[in-house]
Amino acid sequence: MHDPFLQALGGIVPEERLLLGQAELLPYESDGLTAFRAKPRAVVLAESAEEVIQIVKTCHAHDVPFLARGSGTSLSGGSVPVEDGVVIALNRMNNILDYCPIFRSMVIEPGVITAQVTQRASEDGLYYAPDPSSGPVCTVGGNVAFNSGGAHCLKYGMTSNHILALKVVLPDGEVTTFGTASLEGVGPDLTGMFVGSEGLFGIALEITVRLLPVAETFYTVIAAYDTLERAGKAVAMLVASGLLPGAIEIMDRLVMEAAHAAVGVEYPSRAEAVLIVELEGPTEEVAEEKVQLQQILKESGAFEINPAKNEQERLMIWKGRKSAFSAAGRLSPDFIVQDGVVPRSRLGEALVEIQKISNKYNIRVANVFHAGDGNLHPLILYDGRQAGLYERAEECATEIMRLCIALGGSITGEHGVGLEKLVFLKEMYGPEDTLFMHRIRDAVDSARLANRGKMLASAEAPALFSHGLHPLEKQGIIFRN
Amino acid sequence: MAEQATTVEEVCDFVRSTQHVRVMGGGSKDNLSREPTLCVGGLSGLIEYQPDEFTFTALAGTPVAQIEEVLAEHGQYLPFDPPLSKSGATLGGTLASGLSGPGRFRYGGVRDFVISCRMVTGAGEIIRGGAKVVKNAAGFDIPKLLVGSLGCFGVLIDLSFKVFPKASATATLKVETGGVSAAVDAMHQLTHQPLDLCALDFDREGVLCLRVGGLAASLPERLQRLRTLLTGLGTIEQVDDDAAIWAAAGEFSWVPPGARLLKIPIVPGSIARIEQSLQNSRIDPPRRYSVGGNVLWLSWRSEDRWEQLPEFELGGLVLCGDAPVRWMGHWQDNVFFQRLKTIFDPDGKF
Repeated sequence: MHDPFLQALGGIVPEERLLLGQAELLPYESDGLTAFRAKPRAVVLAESAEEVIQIVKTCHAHDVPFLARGSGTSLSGGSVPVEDGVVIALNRMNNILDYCPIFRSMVIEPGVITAQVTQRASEDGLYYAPDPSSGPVCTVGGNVAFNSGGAHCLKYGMTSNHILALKVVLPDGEVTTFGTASLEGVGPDLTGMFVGSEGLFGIALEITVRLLPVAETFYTVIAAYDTLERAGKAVAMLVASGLLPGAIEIMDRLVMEAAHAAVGVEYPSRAEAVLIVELEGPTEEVAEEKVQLQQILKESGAFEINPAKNEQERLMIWKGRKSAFSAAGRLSPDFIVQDGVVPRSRLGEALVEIQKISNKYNIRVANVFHAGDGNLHPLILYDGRQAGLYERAEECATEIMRLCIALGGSITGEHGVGLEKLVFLKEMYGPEDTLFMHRIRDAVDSARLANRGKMLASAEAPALFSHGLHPLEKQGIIFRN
Repeated sequence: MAEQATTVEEVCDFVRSTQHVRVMGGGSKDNLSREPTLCVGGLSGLIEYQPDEFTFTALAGTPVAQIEEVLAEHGQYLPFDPPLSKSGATLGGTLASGLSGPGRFRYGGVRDFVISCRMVTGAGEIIRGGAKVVKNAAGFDIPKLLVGSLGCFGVLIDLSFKVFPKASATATLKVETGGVSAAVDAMHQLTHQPLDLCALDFDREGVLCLRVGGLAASLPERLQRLRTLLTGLGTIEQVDDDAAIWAAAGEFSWVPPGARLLKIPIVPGSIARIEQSLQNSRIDPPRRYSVGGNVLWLSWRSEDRWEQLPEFELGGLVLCGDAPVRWMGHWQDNVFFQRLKTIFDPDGKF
């Protein structure tokens, strides 16, 4: 090893945790958004905060870009490597450092799997509210970087709302902490500023999360509609009714078919769209709320209302919903998933427009939404092996994103900007506000080393876009059909 | 004499032409708005409110009480119970001081409900952060950064918040546990359970206040269940005017006139130590533990030695009263803060 930089990394971790070979690097070239990939120079499997700090310092000293990676489930290309940069893999930093059930908080390392936080806390009747669909796989460190969402943000907010404190390493290796285990603080909310910064402010080394008591009773219902638009209007009615369900989700016909094929959930046969609504709370209150809910669903034109009869049925409803992205692979060899947000009162309008866009490009769009938040998830289906289809799908996606901006919404509700939405950040915020964000990044990371080229488009960002099959598919290691 | 600004342009002009900018909104936290150079109380009014969207945008100098009134007409509210609203607290002042009241316990604080902001930076430029929708992961979360920033990054122009439907009925149980230590024990028995409490506060006598809210018909049953859980912990009484006692808590009516009022963030596990220190020193300041033991509101009389607070490991924000400092703590030493400050306030005006 003659490269002094790699030699320096070799001084921090043993040889077996410094991956340099082509075959070893391959799985790290891409993430959940398989359309983008780039070759890292090296992957370092870190096992401690001290190692991460040393790696970051070394990168800074040698002017080498780096990014942290958890499970690589980012749907915006957020964990695609920076070309020729270093990937700091954090999966091995998966310890629960402190757990205080009585104070309802837990201190964890960034590589802890999201669903494991709840698993650990559940014996005390507690849970960690953020529940991205990738929860059984993704890491809390990644959720912190991208301010991940999930189906239950309506009532409990996003990841940011559940992070109390952080210990982080800034892009030049300086270590600092924000927040305490208290719900309240004094001084600017630096924790809030760090969460969702997509790795541009550095790497979270220790994360203090807030836990909530598990609701006593859940009432989860599937309501069937003959049009998608009618389901969209039902959401507006529900939100306006004053009920505060834990979740309001929509799945359209295509997504139902995919979910049925993937996990065997049965949906009402004539439904063009279903609404999933989950009430949660004290038993007496849920009993009263469900009467109100049923009334609203009937008024909104639902032709079938099926409540989960037991916990098993409830979990099945959620399994179907959360399988939607992976199940979309059954509908089409490739798809682009977006997560733009529109004002909730304009959801019906947005759905009609998306259908028009889909028709215009002759590209199928499957719809699954965190509807209560106005958070769309159009799955734009295409076959990357057919010439020109990826480009058409991208144009279709672009138009949907612009629709969200035009309706006064956001280009991303939970996946982050990453690589995928780089050009749209400016469209959403305008040139001045985007420039201001660049200046903030430069003040924190003057060398622009931390996850360079994500969120903020920069002139020097390497051209690393490529499309088509996932590297592992090309190798014949994974298959989609 | 502070300059009065009523338009965004006036704020920009003032910031550009002045070296020292200290903003005052409604003046409800007199120690924080001491010696202001710019008063933005005139920058007031609701800009946008669509009830079925459950979000609103208002100018930063808008009184919280005015917002609450409009929201209430549509059965909505700011679930973090902004303190001092009856004393004239403004939306901007509440955000800049990072203050949340008892309702913070259930759904989160001011940080969890602000979604967008517009502000004037030290360079006199107007920037916007966040979006006017309830879910947004695009760009840096500037609105959250401003929570608790005490005006050190710029002058707030307008703010957008998400709001929630207000419970159609609320009720409060008071439990006389006999002392702080018993109140803490009782709290630990309750905070784990799926009771959906809206607020949990207690005072130095150990009187625990528990608020529940929800649909009217099921509330009595929930209260009955809560009473059963509380059996043996002390005398239980359902208060007559539930709204009034929480409004009084939000106005800190228990603080003696002229006394200093501090917000001290704590963890519930530190309460025993705090009580021990106070007892040992034979100071028994009026105080209230709020947000399930996450905040200590402390009244520190002028005759009590200021230096004792750090000795007791107590520090925080001094909202009211004549105090030698605005806050006690070292957040300004944080390297991340300092780097951000160079961009928002390059000339150190704020």
